[in-house]
Amino acid sequence: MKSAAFEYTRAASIGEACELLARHGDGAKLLAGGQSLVPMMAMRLLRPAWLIDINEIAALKFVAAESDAVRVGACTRQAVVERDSALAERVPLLRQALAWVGHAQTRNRGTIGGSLAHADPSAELPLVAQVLGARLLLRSSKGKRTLDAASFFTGAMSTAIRVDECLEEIEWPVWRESRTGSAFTELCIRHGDFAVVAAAAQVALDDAGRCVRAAFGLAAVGQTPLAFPKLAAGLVGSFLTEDLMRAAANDAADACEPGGDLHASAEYRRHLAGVLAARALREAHEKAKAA
Amino acid sequence: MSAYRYIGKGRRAKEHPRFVTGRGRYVADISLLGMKHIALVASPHASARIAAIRVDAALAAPGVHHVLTGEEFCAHTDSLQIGVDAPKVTRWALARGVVRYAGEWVAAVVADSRALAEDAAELVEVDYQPLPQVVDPEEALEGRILVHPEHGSNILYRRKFVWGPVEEAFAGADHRLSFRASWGRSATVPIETFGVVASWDAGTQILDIWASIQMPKYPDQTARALRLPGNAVRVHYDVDVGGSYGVKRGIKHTVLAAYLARRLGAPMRLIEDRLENMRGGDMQGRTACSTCRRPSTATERFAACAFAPSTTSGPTPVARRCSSASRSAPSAALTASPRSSTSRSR
Amino acid sequence: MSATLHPIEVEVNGKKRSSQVPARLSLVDWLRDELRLTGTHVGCEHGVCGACSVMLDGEAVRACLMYAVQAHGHRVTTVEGLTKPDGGMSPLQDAFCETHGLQCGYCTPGMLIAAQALLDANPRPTENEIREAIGGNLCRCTGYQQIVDAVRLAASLVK
Repeated sequence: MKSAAFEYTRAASIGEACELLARHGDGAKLLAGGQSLVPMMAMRLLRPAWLIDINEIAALKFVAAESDAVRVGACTRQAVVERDSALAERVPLLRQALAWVGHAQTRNRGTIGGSLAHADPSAELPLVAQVLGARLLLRSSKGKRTLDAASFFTGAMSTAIRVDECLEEIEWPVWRESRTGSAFTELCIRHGDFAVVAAAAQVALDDAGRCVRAAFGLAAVGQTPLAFPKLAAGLVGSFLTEDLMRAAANDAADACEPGGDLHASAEYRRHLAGVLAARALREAHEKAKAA
Repeated sequence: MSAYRYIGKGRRAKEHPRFVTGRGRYVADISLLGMKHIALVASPHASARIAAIRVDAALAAPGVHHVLTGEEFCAHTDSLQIGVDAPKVTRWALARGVVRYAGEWVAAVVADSRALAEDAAELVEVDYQPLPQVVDPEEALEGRILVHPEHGSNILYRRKFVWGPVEEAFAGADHRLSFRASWGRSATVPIETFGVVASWDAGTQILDIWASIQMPKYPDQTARALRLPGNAVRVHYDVDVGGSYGVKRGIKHTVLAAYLARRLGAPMRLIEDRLENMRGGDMQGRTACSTCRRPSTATERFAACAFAPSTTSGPTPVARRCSSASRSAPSAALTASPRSSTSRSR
Repeated sequence: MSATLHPIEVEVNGKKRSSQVPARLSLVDWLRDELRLTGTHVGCEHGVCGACSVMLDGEAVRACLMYAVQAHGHRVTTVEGLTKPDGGMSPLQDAFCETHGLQCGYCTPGMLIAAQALLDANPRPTENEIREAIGGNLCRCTGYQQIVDAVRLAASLVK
């Protein structure tokens, strides 16, 4: 299982990477962590004429806290984000999700941006981006543009990134409400595998315990990760009783379109969606109460 | 406290120090001067006629020394042993004329590196005419589609074992119980795939083999297929094996690599990659359907049992044991049916 | 197709190694075939089994999912580099022998790298942390328990 031959450049800067993308078009692929790309190349399912290695571009590897968001460079390693306690305090869902992502070796090389650009519908980080409404900055030799997560994920393994664009950074919104709690949960065959179904939730309470903000979503039950802003809005103003959370979770399960495969039937995924969404909301609620 | 010197004492294994310091010697660690590398072209079809194979483009690819097909290989080597009395059933590492399972090898490419051999393997063109296929053992028993037409049926081996008065027990029974169990193919998936390095010395006329092997009659079967005297095959048993758990048969890989070593006058390396290991249709545990019928009376619950396992050992069997417990009248039938695995997406 | 060779300089087990490599040559194949460091093993070539694990700048990675050219300018540690300077076994290597944390030995180098990387970063791991650290390494022989025991034993031995 040796890769087919390709030309290789180690890009020294984002500008150089974009210039190469512009020149080679869809004959080129960006090489970041390689944890998804290289297996496909080993199996010769992908055979790009050019690989543009962006691993050595320091400007793509950073974690920068701002007032309402944390900006993370696209090539920041998943392990670096996982270890960053300041980041975990401000965007707790990231560390919670990363506990389910692959294994130590894959997190040491795999990047935040790579997982988002790969856009596997059952992947954990795209779900967090969708639920939190992350913003993704794309750069090309023509300029840059920002997409919100909902516009970024267009289908299974497919995003709005154009052939001459490089994902540069991701802006993760920070909730300033003091009583915020979040949770990520999933069912997988073995720990580290892609999710059979995954759920993420984040809620904020006022001093009386009333919900003032909520967001939740599901992965592996549609072509993209799914967020449910309308159902979440329906929880605002309530005390997040078990009945209300279950109802919102079940409505979400009814609204999704899971597929069936070797690991789970569509019906089982739909059932899991309701169970896991409720569990994520419940755990997020508990954390918010304790905050 | 143990009274013995070795039994019951915590002792370390002799081989562990070399494994934990990275000094094991597995077959892929062996590098001989002038060694060439083999990659395979495999059939995506479970059952098909091979209408044509064109190798010109592959032969012209960088670093390629030879492309071998069944036409030459099957003429110059003997069939691998089947293990049961079925003289019309034959098996070679390379298909000739027809393919009988998805994953069956159709051509072997020899090149200066595995990567170059894989590049060239993609350039081999094979024209297949798909034929009807049967993969289910019970359907195979019906014999409407024959895997080895010369054999006349899909039953390779039938044997009946009778212990005790089974018919009488059934005749005198108040009740009968019957259940059917079936299970699919299995693979042991050792972390190390099978591999072989073969080197032919034209001077001494001796074939040296290093392989990740753990089965009996290996040099014997290799010699026989290559039409060599038994003492011309020298297997180096000091090669470390990275697990097998029954699946590393390796005869077909070995005969192929050895033939090419002799033919081209250079040592040959054939290491299965993981896709080849998972798709090697004739290197897996068999499908089985078993029907067990049991009569019982009010007083004697388990008087007898008739157990009829029917297993597919794939397109060609390697002799399988038919075991059944209990005093019973099991009859065992080994049937041949093509193995189907997911078709290659290369 | 591409016959271009890329010059690389990589520090491997403390020694600077220079080479010219085709881009598609994987890191594990370069270590094994060119440097003859055959202790690192190939098990799946698609990033699932962990037998190819090496340390890159001190962190465990899958060498089958990196190209050798990407290691230019970096530090690589293989199982051969885990032994003490005098060639003797490290506490971790010795612990694997003590607890019988191996049988065929094929997954063992990858396990040692994953475990040593853990102990280097976290000298007092919990059982869960040990299991998480080797979670990306498959073993078909042992059932893992004695491997976990080996890592726990090694951790207890290092002051």
